[in-house]
Amino acid sequence: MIEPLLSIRNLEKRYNATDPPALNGVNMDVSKGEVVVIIGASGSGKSTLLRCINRLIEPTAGEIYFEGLNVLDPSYDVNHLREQIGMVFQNFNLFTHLKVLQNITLGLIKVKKMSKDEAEKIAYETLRMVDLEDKADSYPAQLSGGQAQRVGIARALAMNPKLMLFDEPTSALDPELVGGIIQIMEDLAKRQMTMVVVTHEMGFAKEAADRVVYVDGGAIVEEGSPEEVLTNPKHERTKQFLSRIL
Amino acid sequence: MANPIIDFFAAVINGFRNVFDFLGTFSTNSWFLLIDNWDVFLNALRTTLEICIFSMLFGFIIGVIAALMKLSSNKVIRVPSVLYVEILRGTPLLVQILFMSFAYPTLVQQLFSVTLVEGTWTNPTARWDAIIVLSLNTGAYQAEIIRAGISSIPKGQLEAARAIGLSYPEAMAYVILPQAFRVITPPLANEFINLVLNSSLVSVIAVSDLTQTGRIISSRTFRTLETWTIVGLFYFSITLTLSRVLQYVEKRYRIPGLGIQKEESF
Repeated sequence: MIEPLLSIRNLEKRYNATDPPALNGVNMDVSKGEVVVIIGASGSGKSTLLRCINRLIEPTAGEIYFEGLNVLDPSYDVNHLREQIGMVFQNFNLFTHLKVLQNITLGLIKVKKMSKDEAEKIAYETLRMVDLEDKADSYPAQLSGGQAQRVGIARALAMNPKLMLFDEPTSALDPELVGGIIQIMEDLAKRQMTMVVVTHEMGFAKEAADRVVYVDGGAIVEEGSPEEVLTNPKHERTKQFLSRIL
Repeated sequence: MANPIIDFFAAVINGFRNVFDFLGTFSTNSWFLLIDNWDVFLNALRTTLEICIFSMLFGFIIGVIAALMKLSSNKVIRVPSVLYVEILRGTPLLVQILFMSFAYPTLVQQLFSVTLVEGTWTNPTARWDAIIVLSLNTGAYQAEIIRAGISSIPKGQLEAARAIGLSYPEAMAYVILPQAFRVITPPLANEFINLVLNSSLVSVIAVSDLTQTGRIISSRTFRTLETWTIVGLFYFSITLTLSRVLQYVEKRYRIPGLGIQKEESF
């Protein structure tokens, strides 16, 4: 068996000792090239799970292996981990003070230590992929939501990540702009990008996911192929959740 | 033939003449004391500028460091900064100046039992006393302004910066602080102007700044109205220049979506 790219074991996160844990013993494997969609109600722990993967949130217990190495080990360089994992946010989080081009080159220059010319070349190539070359000199505040999110994706892609995390990438967008983002993500999936996506877009899950994971109460309740989970859910809680959102 | 333009200028010139006539009633040519004491005033201006520029620079550096310390989650780092800000903001500047000038050397003597040498760290010159106190004082106020600026930047900015692999100091330097500084330019400009005005208090420890010089000249010439008007105008020219420069900086580095956008009425 091939070793999975990402392997999560008994992951637990408590924000404080008295509250019930946000994550309660999560086990999950993601193979190279696989697209995993995480669904679940708000407050179910799906965003916490995603943020634990690149350690934006520090888990309280458990292990996370990336390419076979335990990333929670104190000797593991967290910045090196994040360099290899791209992340796309719900609210885009583009750097407000930088132009679109600089938003993309910042990580290339400061983290990957590229020269400015090299970085800009890559930035333009990535912008071309999301069809926003003409916005290279705009500031984030001058972009529409859909454009901003495409820059957000380009910023993550330019780092040439081994894994992409999407945290509800379309939730803050107007309905007519959702399709464009979904299209880019489906293209990425076709090109064998490994992705973990938290989303409410069931269309994307059906179309592009290799596996759908339903999270509730900080634990994985059900997982399987999109057909299994979305059309024939076994668990009562999954059925209830799907009946509410579909 | 009546010409409105000539009438207008005649009225303006007449107005000026009236003003000069009024000022002239105090004493003929009494305003020449500015020219008579030009070198003295110029030296005083230089002293005030020197103290203000150094204090502004040091105060800003202290302010950034204290603000970052105050935001630390580590108590050992945070508490000294909190104490510093509270003490410097909670005591009068005049008392701080007098403490530095008179109490500090005694404190040093008792703590380290060294002989005091004028012009070294044990007993700095009056001018350095002034710079040190003003830097520490404005540093405390600037720390609060900078801290508020950093806190006003949405959490997602730091998250995004960390997510691409920047370390915490890098994220601060390349993402958070450049945004925070744009947000805080107006209150920071206010603090710089306050600093210039507050610097007049250092005249009590025999620093020959504008205020101290004004006191000397007025007691020598007995021209109090003229002297203090001139001193006031010198301060005004500094603060006016400063506020114009800062306004320019604010406009020059303005970015869509950050800080004040444009002068709008509500």
